[in-house]
Amino acid sequence: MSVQGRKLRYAVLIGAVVLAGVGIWLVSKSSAPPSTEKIQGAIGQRKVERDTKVAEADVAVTPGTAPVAVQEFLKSKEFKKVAGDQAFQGLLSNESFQSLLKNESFQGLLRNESFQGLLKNESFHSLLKNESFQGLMKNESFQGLLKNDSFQGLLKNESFQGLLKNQSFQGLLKNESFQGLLRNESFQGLLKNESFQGLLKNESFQGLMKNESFQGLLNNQSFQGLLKNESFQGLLKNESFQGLLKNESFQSLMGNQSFQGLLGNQSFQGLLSNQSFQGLMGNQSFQGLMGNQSFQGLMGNQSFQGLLNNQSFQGLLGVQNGLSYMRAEMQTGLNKD
Amino acid sequence: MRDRSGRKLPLIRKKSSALLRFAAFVILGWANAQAAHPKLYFQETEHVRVVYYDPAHEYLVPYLIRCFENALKFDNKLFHFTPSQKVTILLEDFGDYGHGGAGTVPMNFISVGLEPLNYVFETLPNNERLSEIMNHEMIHIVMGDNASNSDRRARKVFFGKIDPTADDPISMFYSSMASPRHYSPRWYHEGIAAFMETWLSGGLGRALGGYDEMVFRAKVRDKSYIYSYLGLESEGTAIDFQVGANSYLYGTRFMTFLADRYGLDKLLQWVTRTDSSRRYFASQFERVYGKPLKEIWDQWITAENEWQNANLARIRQYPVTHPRHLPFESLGSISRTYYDPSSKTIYAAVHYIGHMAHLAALHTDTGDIEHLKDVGGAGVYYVTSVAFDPTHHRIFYSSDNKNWRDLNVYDLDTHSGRRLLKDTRTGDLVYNSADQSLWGMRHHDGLSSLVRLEAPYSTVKPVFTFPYGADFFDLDISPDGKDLTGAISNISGEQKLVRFQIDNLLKGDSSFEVLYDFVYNSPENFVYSPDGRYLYGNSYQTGVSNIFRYDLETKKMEVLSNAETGLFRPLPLPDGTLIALEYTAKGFVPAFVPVVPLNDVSAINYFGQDLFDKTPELKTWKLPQPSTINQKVITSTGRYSPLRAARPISIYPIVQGYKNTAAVGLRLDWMDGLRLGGGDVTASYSPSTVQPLSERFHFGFTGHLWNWKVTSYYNNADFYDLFGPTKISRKGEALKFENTRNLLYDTPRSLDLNWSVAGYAGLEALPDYQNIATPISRFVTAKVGLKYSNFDKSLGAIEDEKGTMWQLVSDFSYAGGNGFPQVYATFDRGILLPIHNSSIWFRGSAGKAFGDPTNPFANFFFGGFGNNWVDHGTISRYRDYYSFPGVKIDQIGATSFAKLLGEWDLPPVRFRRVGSTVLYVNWARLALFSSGMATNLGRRNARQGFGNLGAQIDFRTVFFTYFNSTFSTGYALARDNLGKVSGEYLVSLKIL
Repeated sequence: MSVQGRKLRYAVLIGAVVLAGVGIWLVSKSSAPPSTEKIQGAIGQRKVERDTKVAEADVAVTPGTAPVAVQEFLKSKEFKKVAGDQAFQGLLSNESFQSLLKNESFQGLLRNESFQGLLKNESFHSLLKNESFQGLMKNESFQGLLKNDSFQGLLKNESFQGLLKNQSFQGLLKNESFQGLLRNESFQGLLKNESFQGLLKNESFQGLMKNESFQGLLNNQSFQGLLKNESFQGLLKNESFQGLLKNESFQSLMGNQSFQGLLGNQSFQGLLSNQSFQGLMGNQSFQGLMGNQSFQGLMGNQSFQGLLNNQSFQGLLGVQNGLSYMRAEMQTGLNKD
Repeated sequence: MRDRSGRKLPLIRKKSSALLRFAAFVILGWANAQAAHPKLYFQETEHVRVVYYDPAHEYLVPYLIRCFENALKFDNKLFHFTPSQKVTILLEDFGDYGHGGAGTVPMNFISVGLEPLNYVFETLPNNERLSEIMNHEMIHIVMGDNASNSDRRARKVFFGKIDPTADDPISMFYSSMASPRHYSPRWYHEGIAAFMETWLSGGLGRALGGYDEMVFRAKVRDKSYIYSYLGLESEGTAIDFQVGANSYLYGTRFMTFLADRYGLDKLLQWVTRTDSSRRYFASQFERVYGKPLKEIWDQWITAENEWQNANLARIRQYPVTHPRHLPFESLGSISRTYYDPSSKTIYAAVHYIGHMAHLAALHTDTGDIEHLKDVGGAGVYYVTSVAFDPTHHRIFYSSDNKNWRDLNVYDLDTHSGRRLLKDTRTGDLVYNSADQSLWGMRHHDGLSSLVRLEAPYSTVKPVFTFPYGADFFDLDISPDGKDLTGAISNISGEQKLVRFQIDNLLKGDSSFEVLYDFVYNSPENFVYSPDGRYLYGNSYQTGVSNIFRYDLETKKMEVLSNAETGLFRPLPLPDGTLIALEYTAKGFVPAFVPVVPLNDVSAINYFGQDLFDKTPELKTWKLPQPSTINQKVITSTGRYSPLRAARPISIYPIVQGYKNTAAVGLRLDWMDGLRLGGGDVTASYSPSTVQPLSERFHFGFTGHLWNWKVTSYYNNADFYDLFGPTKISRKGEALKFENTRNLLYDTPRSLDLNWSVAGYAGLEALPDYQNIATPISRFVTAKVGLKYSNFDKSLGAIEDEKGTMWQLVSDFSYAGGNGFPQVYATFDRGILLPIHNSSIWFRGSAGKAFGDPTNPFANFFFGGFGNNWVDHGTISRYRDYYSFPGVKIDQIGATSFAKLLGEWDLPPVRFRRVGSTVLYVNWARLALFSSGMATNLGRRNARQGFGNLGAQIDFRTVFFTYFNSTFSTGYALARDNLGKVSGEYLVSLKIL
């Protein structure tokens, strides 16, 4: 290469470096966050010692890890009893389950004492071997639900375990709002009902169940009572009525808060429990009427609903666990900051 | 076997075996109940044992241990401190904000609340919190546990440090012998701890805090009273809106002054307990500084005035912002504010003297403060988190802010409120009008999560969880509902004003735009202007909290104020004007602030920085990172059992009274480090020959584990029987099991179920009625009670001032083959009067006993104030259902009764300068009461009526700066339905 050519190359290189430098400076000037010095005018800055730089590596904590608690569980009599159980050993040798065991969230779940109790249940072992269910177990929200004592009770119910193997229902279970509903003890009672489980396998009904407003209705104890009503369940099993349930307009009516308010109304529920009315509801013509938007409009009309709606419902008081005692005890003799 | 009256008692032995069977049943129940309690785990080193109850908290334990060892290493070097016993740390998550507590008597114990701290108004530093808390709490341990030779000798004699107990008040004397520095005022303990925490963490702490500097600048500017060290304890920490925080503020400032004026060495000589140091903190102070504490405290006040006047002069170098106050007095502590232009009203939560914390409508045109609704469980400074929905005219707010926060809504049209969700653990609420969603920050398991609630607000959905050490606060949402802004703080305490796009957040993209890097200053309370162009907030960048404005179009930050004290929580109005809160010596006052960008604002100097510049040694105090502590320091891990961890903690001589004689003996205390299990044994002997030999030995036993308790005695003796007419001592023996269960624990509401069963033998007088001889000396009793209480008090109160309490108690005695059931109920209702800290109470009670009316077991007994000359029970004993001042103790017997007492508690008078550090008077309070009672309601011939009128005045005194005692005196006049009048004087000193 000639000297001239080399010089030209140097010139181009230097020019490029200068241009790049200017470019970087301009970009950094326009996109970097303004510094404290960029405040307008002669604004003083307080002078205070601040030598507090901490690198994250200096703290190095990993939320979700609890080796001591897990180790204590593994040493516990409860675990040893389960570990000696053949079904449990079979479960442990299951490949899918082994992959589940590597899941961090699932490890967190394993540390949960109530869940540990559930692990002793044989039917639950067979459920755990089901691959679809294992997929569901990896879902964090569902793991949260599994820590709920009442839900664990429900999981021990064989019929419900059958339902859990249903893939559509598993999809529904991943829905967070529905998980909230599942924490409701009354609703759990309802879920143990086989007829209702049949209904739950219905995809349209599952779609409705994902509707948060409808879930709010399902939280309503009276409505749950209605759902336990065999005649009403019979109605729910009625194919035509199920067809009605699949009707989008009707589903939208069911998702209508005002209409749900009506459904939560005891008087209206009384009417729904009435076999004749249920017969009517099973009647295709009436269902057609129910699918009619004008009629739904009437049903969604607040004044019409107000005619029936005159009851309010309140939750019951919670029960406090032993932590409250511990907490009160901790206050003794302390300089509280 | 026969009783004292010679009657045969055929059932005694059968009953004894039944009692044994019952005892076995209770013990089994007790053992079974332990399984129902939280499992506790521990990890320990040579010096510390960390206990935790939730595996979800375990990830912090190794780091916490390193923080502890790191702090201890420094404390050992500077204070020559080696813990006298292993320190127990409880890592807990009882509250939504981080906190700590420490105690050294009788055990070294630290409580660490693991959540992020509350940085409101920069009252607390926001660097890594576990390290910060540990540095602070360990100073408490050093101050209380460090011992001289004489302290160590006392601890050797008593086999440990003594837990002062009102049961045996002589323990206070022994305790002060073994741990003299523990008995120092709170400003001393908190002052030195906050002073040290600042330098140990490299400058982030209250000795270099903007809020601390402002408090005293405001006092000087407003010519407000700066308390003496006595007045601070007696009044300053009670009637000031900052209450207990004043101990930190004054203490830190005084320590800084001492180091600044007289040097670090002298400060360390004062606070370090060495063999040559004096026991009492004030005596050691005088020895080190050569002058009494009072004189140097006055020097500090003079110096503080000079310092603050110099800072005010610096501020006044440039035109000062003069906020135009709205027509309100100081509102004390105040939450975020919202403005409703249609009614010209500011909505906020406020908390000021003489009032409950409440949601308030501040009518800016009239100056009226409309009390909308009490806020239960208010926080200091910020009161509560508030979000305003202008469309539906409602306010969302959190309650139970000191524990796990609940979410509530208040409808401004219907004036009704309700709780939406319990224990959401969510604050920093902000409402998005675009989609009616509510956003907030949740603290749980030590992590901060941005959460969202959609209407109807029944579920809290996490949107993004920040890594440990990072926090996000002071949220706001742009008027178009698209952007969410707030302050992000990292683990080093550096802070930035940032903006998230809500659509992105909902899609799982948590990236954010840094609007402005405030470095170590806090970008506080930044809120959108109604047109969405600006963000208004406040920051201590100049040393004073001034109002700043960020232009989202030009991306420039402007300063809008040159405040003398501090301006906070700006509230831009639709007409372009601006309201902010000015800090004054009495609290925050809303005021109009001009919206004019300023070019010149002087920085002020910080007192702590002045000290730092003069004292290079402070730089060397900065601790190395906890990661420098070897992880292998952990020696043991496992399950924690309170029963197994319980150890004897002390043995000491006691004096007791038995009937009218004195007894001497020993007391042994034992407990575990968390006080979950423990108890005491007392054994004493009456040398007097007045009593037969069989009554000269006395024995007492108490044991508890979790919420179970067992007590037993033989010829019960009691210290307070040495004085006055009330007698606790009893001949005979007893064994009692008790259990208390919280059915509801939602502070301040609680519902407790309490039951007990007890067996007695050889008694002469009834256990609860000293003057009533028992016809049968062996009997068993069972009792079950349900008690609900929901009390609250306003700032400056000395006790609960309003609320409700009721209890329903059923008592059953089985004696001589007969059962004697009793049932009674009480109902108390208090109403706070418009006069500050004054309330009226109505206390009703009624009961019925069943059985032979001539049998004492089938009767209730009433009479007397009930206070002994020297006492350790409640002060206002006249409130109890069995009390009836004006007649003698147990004078009125009845098989049934109905009673109503009305009481007016006058405002307390507080004393600023009465006494010395050894003994001073805190407050005095007068209560007037009158009650009426009808007895034997179902027995016309035996029916009686009684009435009384009385007054009691109480003086709260404090001795050794630590022990509260109350001197009470009073008089009551009683009259029965036959016209018989009697009177009773009360003179009583309540200890502890």
